[in-house]
Amino acid sequence: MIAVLQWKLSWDGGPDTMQMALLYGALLLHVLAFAVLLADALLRRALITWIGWLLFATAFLAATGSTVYRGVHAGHFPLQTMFEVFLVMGMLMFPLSVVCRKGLRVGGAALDALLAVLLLFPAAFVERFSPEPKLLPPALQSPLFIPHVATYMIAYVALAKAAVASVTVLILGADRASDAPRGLVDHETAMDRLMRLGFPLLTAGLVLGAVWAQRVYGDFWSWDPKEMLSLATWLAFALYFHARYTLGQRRPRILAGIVVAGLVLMLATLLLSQVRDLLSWLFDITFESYHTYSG
Amino acid sequence: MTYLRKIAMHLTIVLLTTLTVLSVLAAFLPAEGALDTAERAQRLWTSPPMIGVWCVTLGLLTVGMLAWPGVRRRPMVLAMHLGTLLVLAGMMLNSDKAHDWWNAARDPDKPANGYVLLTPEHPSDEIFRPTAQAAASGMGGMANTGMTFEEMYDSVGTLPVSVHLRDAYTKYYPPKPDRSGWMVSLVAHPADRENAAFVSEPLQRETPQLTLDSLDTPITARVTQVYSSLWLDAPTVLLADDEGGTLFPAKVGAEQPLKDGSTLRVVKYYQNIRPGRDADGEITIQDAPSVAGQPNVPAVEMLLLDEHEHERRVVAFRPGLTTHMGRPLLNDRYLPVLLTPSKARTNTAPSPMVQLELSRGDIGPVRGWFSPSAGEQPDRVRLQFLFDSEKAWTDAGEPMLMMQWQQMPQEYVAEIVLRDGEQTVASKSLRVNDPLHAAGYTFYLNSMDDRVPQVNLHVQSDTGISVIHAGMGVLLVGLFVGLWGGLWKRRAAAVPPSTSERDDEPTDAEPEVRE
Repeated sequence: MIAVLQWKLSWDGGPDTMQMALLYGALLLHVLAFAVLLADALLRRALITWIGWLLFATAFLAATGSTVYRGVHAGHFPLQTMFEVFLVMGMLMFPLSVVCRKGLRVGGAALDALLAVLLLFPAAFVERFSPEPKLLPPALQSPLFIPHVATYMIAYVALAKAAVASVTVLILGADRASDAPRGLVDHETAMDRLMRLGFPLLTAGLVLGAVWAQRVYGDFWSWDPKEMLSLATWLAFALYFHARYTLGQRRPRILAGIVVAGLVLMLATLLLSQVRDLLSWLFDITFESYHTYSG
Repeated sequence: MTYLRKIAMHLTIVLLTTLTVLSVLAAFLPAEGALDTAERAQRLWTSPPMIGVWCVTLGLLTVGMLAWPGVRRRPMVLAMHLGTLLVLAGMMLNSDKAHDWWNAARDPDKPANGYVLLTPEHPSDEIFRPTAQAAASGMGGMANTGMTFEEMYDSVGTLPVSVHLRDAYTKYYPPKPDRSGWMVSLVAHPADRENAAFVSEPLQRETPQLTLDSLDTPITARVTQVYSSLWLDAPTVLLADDEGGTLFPAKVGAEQPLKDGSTLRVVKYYQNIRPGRDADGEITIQDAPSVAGQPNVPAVEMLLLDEHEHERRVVAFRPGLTTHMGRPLLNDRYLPVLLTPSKARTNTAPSPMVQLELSRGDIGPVRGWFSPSAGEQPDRVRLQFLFDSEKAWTDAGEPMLMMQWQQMPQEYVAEIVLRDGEQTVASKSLRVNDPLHAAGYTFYLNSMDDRVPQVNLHVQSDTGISVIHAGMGVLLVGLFVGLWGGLWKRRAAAVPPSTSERDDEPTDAEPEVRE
């Protein structure tokens, strides 16, 4: 790991060294935070809890530093490229974790740190999500640009956390999913609360995107693949609420399955161009998309 | 009633699942013929069976709001469903199909959307749509596809007002100060795939030299000077020598003393210079009227008066054409070029100017100025102009110099005026994110090609838009208040929408948090 970091730093050089150093630092600190918080979940010692949260907070500061540096370097709010999107989503995990714990009584800090690692990893190491900043084309110069993407990013991390909770429910099943960890709600309730946290934000992101599209292109809806997948994601999560109304809490595994399906659609929306490249490569077909700039 | 509700609820679950699956399918429809994924998705989702599905959706939303006390008596849950219903209904009202149905019954027609094609000389009130044939050829424009106007566009109706284009231009991001991303290239046989040869150098910091040595007689281009930031507000002559350069206004009467004691005086400015021949067959130059679709070639005619009062006529052109037509080289030392401020680059630093020295075999070196023009296409200069001799380039096809840079449009602007007869209805400086709402339509500027003085303005009918906006507002209020309300209570009594279908009055209970 250290060798890779050294190689990356020496290889990048130039004005971006600071950017990458902060990013790798954030990644490493999140890995450490995950390890310590995991140990805390098993051992339950006050000191370990304290160290774990301290590491998590420091990791957040490093990720924030990297994001701010990026924003200054690019000259605009850093939510344009995939690199920036992953960086910001990784940064959001700590505040989400705190809000969930203090406000919603939903735990899972160790898994949040792990999720941050998974989100920061593509920014740090996947070559095609280039860290080179880009200029904003005319269509992106809108006051709705930041609200649209930022709302989506917050919704995505909240719903990703919901999906992590739903995997727990899937594994534990109906009986054990209602077990509550100390001071927190049970897993099924945690999943539901996170869904309720994320779904309005997801809808707001979708609506802001539609309003923006209407201001730029004249149509709320362009039938673009990224739009269709974001609609599929929204419909799947709407299905969750209707299913929960119908089934109540009697069939937590079915509900959890819907949330996981929603996560798959969400990932496909986020990584659309990668998914399409894969499909094109596998089946030799071609697509077109407006959202290519987000690449 | 309970039984019917059960059926409606199951229908809702089935409908949501079906729509999810159809959305995923629509996102991955492979392009087929002229139709790309999005167009195939649109056809699928607006096909007659889907119109049925939309009506069922509207029906279920209505039934949901009326038949479930749990929805009806909770304002926020009601708002979620009402908002969704309004958005869907508004979209249906705004659709092409709804306009087609309405237009069958009303006169005059109100087309749902289309394009108004404008040039500064030709106002228009006609709405066009690209023909299937034009869509199939990828909308490359008439110049690229060789199609006639009638083959490219169908007229679908008229606007209640006429649209006048006052002005249209593109603003670009300034080039990077360190000139990174700039490339100068030499190309031989550009049109011939087999024999094409290409050499390219970055234009950064140092002055590069390029040699095309795959030819029988190699061509060499040496960059001798680079000006990277010239600010202009009026036509200006640049006189550059080895020690730098002098700028003076290209205004009739302006005089510029030179270092060798001679003087340069501007005698005439040409908006669009064209060569011609007089009665004796001598080459003359004249100011010709602009031709639509062709760029003007501005030039400045100067007199060089040396210390012996000898006169010599000198014509300076824009970069790239400098050595073309006549003998513009003043002497070995000076090479004048005419720089004109470009509207496309308002508020941005102008692009770099490069002085090159070209040689081939025993010809040259010939000096020339070279600058990329605005636009995303690289500027190309055919070397035949620079050499001014046929011998130099015959075995290299028509060798070209190209300058490439990643020039990004920062803003498109089109100033339009809407008129009803003689009366001005509205006027606005349109930008990409700033449309104009007037006369029952919204006017959008999507993009622009600043090489062609034409703007295709997208117009979209306003019918149903306010319904959609209202629906979005109601939906969001319902969701945020309904789902977030009670979520932040630390302990007991947070509210899930409902826990079971059996109780029409669901309790607001959630399991107590166990400490």
